[in-house]
Amino acid sequence: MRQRFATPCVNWMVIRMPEVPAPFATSVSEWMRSGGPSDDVVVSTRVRLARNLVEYPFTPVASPEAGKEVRDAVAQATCEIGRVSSEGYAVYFLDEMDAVDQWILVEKHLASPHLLDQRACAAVVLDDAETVSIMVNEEDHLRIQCLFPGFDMDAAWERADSVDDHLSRVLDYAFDGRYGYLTACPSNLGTGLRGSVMLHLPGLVLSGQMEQIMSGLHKVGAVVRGVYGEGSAAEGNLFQVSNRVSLGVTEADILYNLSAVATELINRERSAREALFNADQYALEDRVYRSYGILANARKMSSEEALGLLSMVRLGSDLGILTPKVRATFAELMVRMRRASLQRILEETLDAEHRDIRRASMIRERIQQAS
Amino acid sequence: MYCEACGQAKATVHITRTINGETRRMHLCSSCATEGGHLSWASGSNLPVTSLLGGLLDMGTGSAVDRQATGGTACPACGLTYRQFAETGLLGCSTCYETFSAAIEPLLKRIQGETMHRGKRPAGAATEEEDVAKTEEQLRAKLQRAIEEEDYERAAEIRDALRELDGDSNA
Ligand SMILES: [Zn+2]
Ligand SMILES: [Zn+2]
Repeated sequence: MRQRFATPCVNWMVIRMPEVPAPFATSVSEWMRSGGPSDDVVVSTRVRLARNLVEYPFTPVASPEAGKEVRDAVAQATCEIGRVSSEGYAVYFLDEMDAVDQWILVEKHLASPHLLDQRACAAVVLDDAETVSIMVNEEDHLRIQCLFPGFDMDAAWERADSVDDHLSRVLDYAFDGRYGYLTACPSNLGTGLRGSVMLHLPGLVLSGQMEQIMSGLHKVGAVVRGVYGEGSAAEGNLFQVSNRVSLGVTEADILYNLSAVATELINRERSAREALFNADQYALEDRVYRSYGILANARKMSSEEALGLLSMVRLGSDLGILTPKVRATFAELMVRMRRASLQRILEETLDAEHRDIRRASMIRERIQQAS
Repeated sequence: MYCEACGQAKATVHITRTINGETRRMHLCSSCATEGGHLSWASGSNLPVTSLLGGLLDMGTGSAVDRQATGGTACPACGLTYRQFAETGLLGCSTCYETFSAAIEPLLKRIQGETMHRGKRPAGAATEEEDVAKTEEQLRAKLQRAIEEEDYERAAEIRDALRELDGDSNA
């Protein structure tokens, strides 16, 4: 059953829309589109800024009343940005949304699972393209996130920086001359900045280099982990690399260093793919076509299996074995095949088995369309 | 290898950090690493230090910290106690950073490597030079107090911080 959810703010008007589907539930976020820089390896780039309001306790210890005041202040401030910059923003209060829509935000990487635990005071602010998502009352009062397709650190930083500038004119941030932006956790102190690059690294995984690279990267102040599942055998061969330190280093230096690490990974991944292809072209082609065959024909599919097969098909597309159109479906399918998104698209509540059947048929359709 | 935070499960997440030649590796199980969604891609990715802060706070910290811990210091603004901070690794409000500064400084040295912000400032905030000067003044006052209280360990820490601040502003 769909319940009403609120869009209190589009530009600066407060609108409540009962019994209307959440626009983000079926839309395609900007980052899910292909064609970004280095998108043969990089899925998306994100910049996140942690900010708090000086006059309220941090979210983890705040009372529900204080939490709601923070949420209202941020909603109001977002309306201000809408007014001065003509960018359209919508504010979604989590306690006014149904559970499926809340999970779709997580599946689209626009909110964290932790935010859902805070639902009484939590909100998400989205712009029309879904490149900006501001989580309200996650661990910090504000987590300003900008998410772009491909490897595009500059775009992500510029957008986050500008949203932050606008908000700082209206909101009174907790800032200390010595410690910088004050955050609930000291690991985010200073700039409050965390940059992340999501990379598709099947070449490095298949050639067994991932383990070594993961430990090597730590020496340069970066953290790598699987996007779905931990360790070097992450599902779908998807990894994210982020900066480790946020204090005592400028934003420009943090992102420069992170970009250097990501660039190195991109280059190594490309060489690994080339080496795999040259070493045994038929083995690689066989693997790609078998994966394609299963995706295009299977009648039941778990999301784990689908992610692994989609990874191989995407690799095939990057190497010119399959058409580039197949790659273009990757990020979208990665989100669409998840539980809540699948449920919303199909407009029905599904048990696990029927979900696997519907997932298989949706993927089959999209993969066949793309080829 | 077992998780450093819980000691229960196999460590699958490895984080290494080198600052000024000192390397520290952390090995965590996936549940400790993702505790509270900390490692989630969607969360804007905190690092799994929160669960380790308690341990770090206890490691070789000075006598000022011991006093805070045993004296049950609480933040005058939000009421958070030192014990609560050590357990969760999270602070309660802006004032907490001042209240627990003696514990936070060595912690920042460990997890961040630095203790002075460089980078963006909100419109209307003082300049970096003004803040460096102000911090230096405050540290000198703290140094004086530590010497008067014959807390030489703390005094040495403050002297290091002053030297670093000096080095940074000359750089
Ligand atoms: Zn553990
Ligand atoms: Zn406090």
